[in-house]
Amino acid sequence: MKKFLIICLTIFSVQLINSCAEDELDITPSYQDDMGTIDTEEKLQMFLNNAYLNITNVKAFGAEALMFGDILSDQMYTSSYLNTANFNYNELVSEFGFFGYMYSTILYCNMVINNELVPNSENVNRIKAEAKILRAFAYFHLVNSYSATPSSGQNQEYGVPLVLGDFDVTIQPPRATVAEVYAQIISDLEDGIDGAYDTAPTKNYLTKTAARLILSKVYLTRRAEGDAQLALNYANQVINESPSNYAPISTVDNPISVQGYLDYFTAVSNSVSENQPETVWELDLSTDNIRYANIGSNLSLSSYYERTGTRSSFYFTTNFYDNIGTQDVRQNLLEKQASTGLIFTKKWKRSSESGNFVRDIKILRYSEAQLNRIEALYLIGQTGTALSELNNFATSRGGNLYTGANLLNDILTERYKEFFAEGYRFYDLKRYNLPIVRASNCTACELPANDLRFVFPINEGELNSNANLTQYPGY
Amino acid sequence: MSALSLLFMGQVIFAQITGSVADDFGPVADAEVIVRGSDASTTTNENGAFTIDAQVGDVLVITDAMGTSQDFKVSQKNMGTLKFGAQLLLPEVTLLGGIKIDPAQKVGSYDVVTSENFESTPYSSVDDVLNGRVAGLTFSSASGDPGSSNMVVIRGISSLLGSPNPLYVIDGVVVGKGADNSAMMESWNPLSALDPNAIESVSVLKDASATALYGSRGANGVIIVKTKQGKYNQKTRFSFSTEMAVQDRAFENLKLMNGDEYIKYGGMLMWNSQGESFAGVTVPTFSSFEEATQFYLTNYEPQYTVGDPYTDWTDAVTRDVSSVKTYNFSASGGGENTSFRLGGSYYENKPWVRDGLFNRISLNSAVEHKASDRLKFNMNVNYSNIDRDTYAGGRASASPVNSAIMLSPLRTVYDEEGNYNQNLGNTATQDVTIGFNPVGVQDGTIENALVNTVIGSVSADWEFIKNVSFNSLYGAQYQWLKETRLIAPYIPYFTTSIDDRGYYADARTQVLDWNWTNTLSYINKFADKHDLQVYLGMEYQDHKYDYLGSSTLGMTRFLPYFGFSDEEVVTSNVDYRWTQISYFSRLNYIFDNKYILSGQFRRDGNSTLGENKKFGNFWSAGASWNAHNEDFMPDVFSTFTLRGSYGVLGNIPYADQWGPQYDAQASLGYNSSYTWGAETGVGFIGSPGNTDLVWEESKHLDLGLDLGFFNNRLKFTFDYYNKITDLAIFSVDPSSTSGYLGTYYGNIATLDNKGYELSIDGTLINNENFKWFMNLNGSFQETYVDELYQDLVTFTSDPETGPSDSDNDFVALAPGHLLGEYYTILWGGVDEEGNPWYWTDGTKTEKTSVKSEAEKAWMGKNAFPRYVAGISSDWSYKNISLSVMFAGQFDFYVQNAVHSYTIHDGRFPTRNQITGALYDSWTDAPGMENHNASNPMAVLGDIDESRLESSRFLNKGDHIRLKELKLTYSFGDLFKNSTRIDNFSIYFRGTNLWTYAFDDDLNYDPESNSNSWSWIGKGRYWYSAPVLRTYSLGIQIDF
Repeated sequence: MKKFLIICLTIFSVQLINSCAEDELDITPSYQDDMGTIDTEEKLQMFLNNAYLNITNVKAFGAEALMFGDILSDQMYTSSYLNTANFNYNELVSEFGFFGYMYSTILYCNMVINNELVPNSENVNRIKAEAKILRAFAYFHLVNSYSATPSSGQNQEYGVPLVLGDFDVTIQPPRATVAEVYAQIISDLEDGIDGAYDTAPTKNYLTKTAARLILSKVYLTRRAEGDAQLALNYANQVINESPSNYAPISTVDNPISVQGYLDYFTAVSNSVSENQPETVWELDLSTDNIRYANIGSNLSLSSYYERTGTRSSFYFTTNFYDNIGTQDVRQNLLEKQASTGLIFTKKWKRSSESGNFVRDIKILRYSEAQLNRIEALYLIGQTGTALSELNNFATSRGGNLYTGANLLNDILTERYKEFFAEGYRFYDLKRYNLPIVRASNCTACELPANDLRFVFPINEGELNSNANLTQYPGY
Repeated sequence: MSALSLLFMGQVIFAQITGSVADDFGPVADAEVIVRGSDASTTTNENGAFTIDAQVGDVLVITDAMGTSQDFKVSQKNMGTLKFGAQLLLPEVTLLGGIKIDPAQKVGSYDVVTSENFESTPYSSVDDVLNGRVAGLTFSSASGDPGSSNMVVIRGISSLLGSPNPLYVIDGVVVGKGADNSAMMESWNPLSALDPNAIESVSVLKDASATALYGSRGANGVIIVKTKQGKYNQKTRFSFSTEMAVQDRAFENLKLMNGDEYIKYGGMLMWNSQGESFAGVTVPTFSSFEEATQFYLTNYEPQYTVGDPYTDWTDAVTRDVSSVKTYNFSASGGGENTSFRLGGSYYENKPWVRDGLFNRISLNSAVEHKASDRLKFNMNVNYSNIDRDTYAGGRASASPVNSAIMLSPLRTVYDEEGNYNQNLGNTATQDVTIGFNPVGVQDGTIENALVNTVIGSVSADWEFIKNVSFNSLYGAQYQWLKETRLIAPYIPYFTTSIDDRGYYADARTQVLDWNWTNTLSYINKFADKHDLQVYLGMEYQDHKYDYLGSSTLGMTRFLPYFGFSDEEVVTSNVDYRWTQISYFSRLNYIFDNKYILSGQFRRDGNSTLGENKKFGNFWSAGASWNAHNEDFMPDVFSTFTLRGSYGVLGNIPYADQWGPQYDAQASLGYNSSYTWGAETGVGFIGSPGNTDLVWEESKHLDLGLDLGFFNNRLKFTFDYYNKITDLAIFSVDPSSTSGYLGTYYGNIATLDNKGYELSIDGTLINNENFKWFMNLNGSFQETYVDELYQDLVTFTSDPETGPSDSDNDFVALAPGHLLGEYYTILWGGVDEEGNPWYWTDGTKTEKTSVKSEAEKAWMGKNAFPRYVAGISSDWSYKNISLSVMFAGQFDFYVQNAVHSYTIHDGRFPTRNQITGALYDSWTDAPGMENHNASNPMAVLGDIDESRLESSRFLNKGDHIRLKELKLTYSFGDLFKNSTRIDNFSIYFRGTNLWTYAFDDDLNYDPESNSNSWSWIGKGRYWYSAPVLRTYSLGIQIDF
């Protein structure tokens, strides 16, 4: 009897010991924190850094978002990205991959802006203001790509979803109207101008100057009543009120040399190519960052543009090459391959002193403020001043002068000469409701003004995941 | 008190037990009869009769003159005629914690495969051997690379996530599902660490009542592997065997163009493309075919001079002969109270691809000791050491196997200076990636893995009161891997590779899985009719994973030491852990050996689920009727069992993969290695979390009928099953607008599996000299997605980087359709002008030549064969035996996932293709006009993208395969008298010898998979390593 009891007791106690282990089921990873614990300035800055790194992703401004502006233009042709180049995209077939990365940038900006745990300080205000500028930049790119321009009057209810709240993985937001998106962008940029850095440690930060530049471009795109004057004001602020480390690369009095202009883009030495006065904002690329952003020989600006790039397939038309005059410093950014006659650009170069693919990518430049000012002057009617400043700008590059017979066209042409291969052309044509007309080297040679395809389709997967999201009409 | 009375009632005094032994030919004379655990022994007389001292409950071991033993449990004083011999008696299956399934009381559905099938096999792992032998089990391998994971599916796919494999239990230790533990290798199968020679039996448990004891991880089925144990009271026996085998590709109709054909194709391509321009080349008009050919050579193969020798790239990267060598040795025996088995084996495989190598040494030991009649200990320890060399696989153009089929035969392996020729194709059209000469890659990459695995279990079985026993089992698997990858400086392996610098990475992983199970059982028989078995138990499982890896892109020398790097060495480490607690209980009631009722209840808790949702309650119930024991049953039925079972079991499909263990919790992560401007560090969302994540529920109904005739010489087993997976866990794709670009797990689908299985075993002839056994098995199986959180889920690849081994452009999930049903644009063919055309949609009413106008359509079939059948037949005549097995799979489609490497319709002018591109494509080229081709006209640039996804690259996968042929000659008594050798046999064995594919256009192996850790890879031909055919010769000696 005793033996039986002892045995039973032993067995049950063994079972009990085992069952005490139930709290063994509560296992948390020690290398991560719970949500809702961003409580120091350092952590806040780290989330802002992540927002920057997200917009640097190779599918966003690390490469592709800058490429599409030129693939969809009239002076460049390609043997890859053919769906885009030939306007062959729809909800099932599309090469545009930046939608998600814009929103992930926006998410991390939201987490910074909405944070209430970190006590206020000047630095915290600066971080939040910077996040607002970045958020506005992301929304601006989204609305430029996935909606029709305000001046076209088309489908203005089809803006992009506005997500401004805390992180919620289950949200399914509908589209906001284009007007609502613009209002948010402008409000964020104004807040940004208030709180951001005047002078930052490097040009990788979005400062007051950057915010003003972006805001001038926003007004030039929207062109509502009074916007042209506002654009002019902000452009003037950039030109006249920026700290001394922002300065034009070339002026009429002190024109840049051919080599100097080339060096700005492609010098091996970082001190010549990075953190330059001409740069208003550039992305910080480094060996670690490009790993995070997936930039490499498979996909990067230099792989596609550079003649010796692994995926070299972007060529410029002879027409474009010839129209940039032989005295123009910018013609030196193009090279004609003798054996094939193909014209490549030298603007994006793989190697630099820190390695391959690690030269900072210039997104915003001082020259744009100058050209924005010229455009704004044209819009408010001061065409004489606009033309003379345009010609000064051209002279500072050794470029051909304009007659002003079609001033808008001249301005846009000068913009393209300055910003080719930087993703501007498509968006410039789009915001003025102009068609894309290719004279040569084309399978699809024209996209009529305000055609459906000026607006990118949202892809099927995204429509599937978000029941409230509607496709742009026509797709 | 009642327990005590049982104690006394159960006691029986020693008595004389009588009986006689007979087999199918008559009485068995001169057979040794002993009582296990006692000294008593006797021999049967010429009538087979015997008398011996024993008690009820003892086990008599009867051994005939040939040495074959059989056990009989003493149930009464006069045991009557004991049937001895080659009946198809299913051995008892021992499950968890001492719970046994007696085949005479079969309620559930399970199959047992015994050791003859495992001994001396050229397969490197256990799961390979089950192929074709078990009804309802479909098998496909990820690649012929030895040691790579295989996909074993029992009764269809029942989860959307995770490995579709069943749970493997080796000697009581739960070792998982054969999923990857590797950090770097493309595919690594933990089961290949177990030597098939050491296996005694494998039981495949298929339905709920059989798998309920493994509860949460048994939803896909359970495979129980029992390694060979020693025998009591047996003089030590030794066994030695060795085998040599050669291998080649099992089914390969992929014939590449040779140099002449390649040049002809180039000419045809130019002729077809007159007036076109692409990538800087404008094709003029030609007046003759020779002009076109010359234009091609001048523009695309300028380095080639007519008369230069051609290069056979595939030859350059493969061995002439691929071979396997195996050596096995074992000793087993036992005394009165202890039995042991020790074994060792060495397996070496030099596969077809030049870089591969697989060596395995394994040692197995099993010791059982009886401390007393009531207390028994058992210990099993298996150790294996694997040294595996593999090559860079996957889609990457780095894979020498992949690039060998794409490279032009007009380019040489070495250039004039003797370096690896890197000018292997036209760069303007991105035909090749510079720097990946396949011979250079093979010579310049070393990928090695050293894996040590110890699987062990210790158990004690204690009958502390009569009829009540306690069993405790502690099992553990400890695995440690060292994986290294060394890449020479001249190979730009990564997109971030630095010029003139190599790469080295070293990853060390340790995995420890242990489980401790305690079971209390009460087994008794009342009034000779009521058999009651009650079990109560508890199990605790703990799994830990620890990874540390370093890599660097700055190696200055081709040596595996980080000291040679002049760049940053990036190190990272991570660990995961998960645990599970289960309480289970089981009740079996058998009345008069005729009616059997069985029920189980369990409660499981798992640490990876959502807060407060970690526990779930599950149950199963079953009944069966052994009608053959009824009086009214005609004698013709030696077995007639009707059985049914239903159970609801919990499952966590991702449990066997490392990574998602903490995903149910919302978390933030930080990393200080990234910077922005002057700031350091990034913060990110680690996991969005899901507090509502609960157990997946697998509701499994099984109905079965077992029939036996002629003393079970002819047996039929028939099953119908319906398995519904509710609350299936799958990756939810949140809206990108949330900013979270990953996925999280949620319970968002319902799957429905239905099927039939039939298995027929026949002992057709069983004479002294001639024996003939046959087994046929067949099954029908379908899996549908009943509900899903979205209307359509696809698995498309990244358009920039192309298909990889873990996506699938052709299949999709949608409610109301088959799981992974093919959903793609329907290819129509080639029209009169050589252009491709497609059906606009599934109704097949309109045609179009513009691909973007065609809609995707459902094809009604997926990659899982609806019908699977196997036939095996064993003949033996005197000393010779022959066994043959055929297996067939029907009604499914397979896809060529690397189709753009084998045929490109002109997009890549300097890439080689299969001969079909030349002989079977539409063309007007003079001298080779072909207007009846299945491939469209090849035009430079393939602007209409006919080479990309459409049903053009799907084929019917229906095939029949001669899976195995084994011819053995056994010397029998010849040596026995003069030497001590009991048995000496030599054999020839061939596997995958012959394949017949029903689709004439199928030119790749229909059993391929691109990966085996998810159902997405099924039926995808990936080319990385082919399925192999082996021819082997072996010797087995027992003494």
